[in-house]
Amino acid sequence: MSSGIGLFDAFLTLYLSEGTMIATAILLLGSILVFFKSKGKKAVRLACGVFIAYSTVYLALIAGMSFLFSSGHP
Amino acid sequence: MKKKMSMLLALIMVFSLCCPAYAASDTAKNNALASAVQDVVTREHGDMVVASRVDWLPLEDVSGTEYAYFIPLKSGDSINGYSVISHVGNSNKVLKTASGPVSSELATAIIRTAADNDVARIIYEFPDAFLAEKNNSFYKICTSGSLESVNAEDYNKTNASYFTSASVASQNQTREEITYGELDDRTVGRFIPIPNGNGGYYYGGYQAWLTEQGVSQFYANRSCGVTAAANVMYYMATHVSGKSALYNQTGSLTKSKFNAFQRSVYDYLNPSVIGVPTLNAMINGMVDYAESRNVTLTPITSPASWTHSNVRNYMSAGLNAESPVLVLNWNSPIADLDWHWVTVTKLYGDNVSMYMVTSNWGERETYDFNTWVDGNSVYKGTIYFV
Repeated sequence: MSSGIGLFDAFLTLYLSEGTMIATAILLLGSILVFFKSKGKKAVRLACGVFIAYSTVYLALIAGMSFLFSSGHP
Repeated sequence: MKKKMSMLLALIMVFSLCCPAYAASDTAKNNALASAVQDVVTREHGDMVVASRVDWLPLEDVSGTEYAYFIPLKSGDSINGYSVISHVGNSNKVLKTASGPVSSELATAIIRTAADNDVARIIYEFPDAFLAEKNNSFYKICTSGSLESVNAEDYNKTNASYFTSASVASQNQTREEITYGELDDRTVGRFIPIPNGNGGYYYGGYQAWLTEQGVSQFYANRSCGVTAAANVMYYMATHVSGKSALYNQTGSLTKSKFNAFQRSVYDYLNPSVIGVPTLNAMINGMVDYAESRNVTLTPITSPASWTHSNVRNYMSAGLNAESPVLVLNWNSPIADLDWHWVTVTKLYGDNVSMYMVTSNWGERETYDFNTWVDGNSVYKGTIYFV
């Protein structure tokens, strides 16, 4: 029993898995690389910008959760 | 003159009669409080005893109203925990009881702080914070005995609403306890009785022990889910027919054996940098571990909506089936449950509130069930297995 069960819980687990974290980190690095290599290609740079923003927010969320989930001491 | 003397004598006589009456009334009230606490302590914490009245400390709320007592709990001569009981009006409400090494340290720190002549008063912030007012500044009393400075403005702002509601709840009520669900072996020394080396017992495992099994401090700090899962599987292995193979050690229970066991559970739950963040992740890891031991472990899920009665019924069903119930919270109004997994061993209530007894950091801790259920949380859940 939870505040979010079934499919949502399965999706959340996948979204917060280490595989997704690694994929997002790769997406961030790739986007940064392509962003700087695509001077003059406005559409590509825009797409990279969106990816960079999303990846940064996601990884910041994970970093925040990692800090909060540190429950080693009372 | 004779008349005046008679009046004075009469006044003295009335006064001398009243004083013992008040004293008797106070003694009766203190005895009732001690008895109420001792009941809870005996029931929940085994053989500890309530310290004598002279050792009790008055606790105030932020506005300076004395509303509760801090009561040390003793095992023999040593302090092994504490209880906080409110005494507003005729109501004796046990707000919190805690025992074990950390609670013992905190209790000692509180007693030492209260003995400091510069400390004007001790303030209790439900459920865990004890603050000292010293030289017009607020300090949080830490388990180490140190005082951590608290910003007075923030403190007042944050806690004003709680203390308002606490005083409303503390009305004249007769305490009546109802047990909704409980494990057969739920007391200290019966629930996963890991000897603590001082003649006492831990109440379940402690995640920090994992560092002794080669797990880094970083991941051990995020392994509350692992310890909670190990608690559940050890208890089920020893109490539920057909589950004995879940526990992979032999011989009598020791800290190192339980630690080796929780390490093997760790390998299946595989906490990430954010620990075990969802019920689904917990279910997958525990079922995988059980399968590796050729045991069928089935998670019991419920599509029922998140209400008091539904959650209470769900958890009670697990406890009464000898299955400790796991509770996960991301954010929670109860600081101890914030971003954390704990193992529930009993659910009970009275006509004021409901409580859940948990194994948390190797200690027995009791929390307010309604605060947990009602509290705003991005994600929270509970699960048990059969």
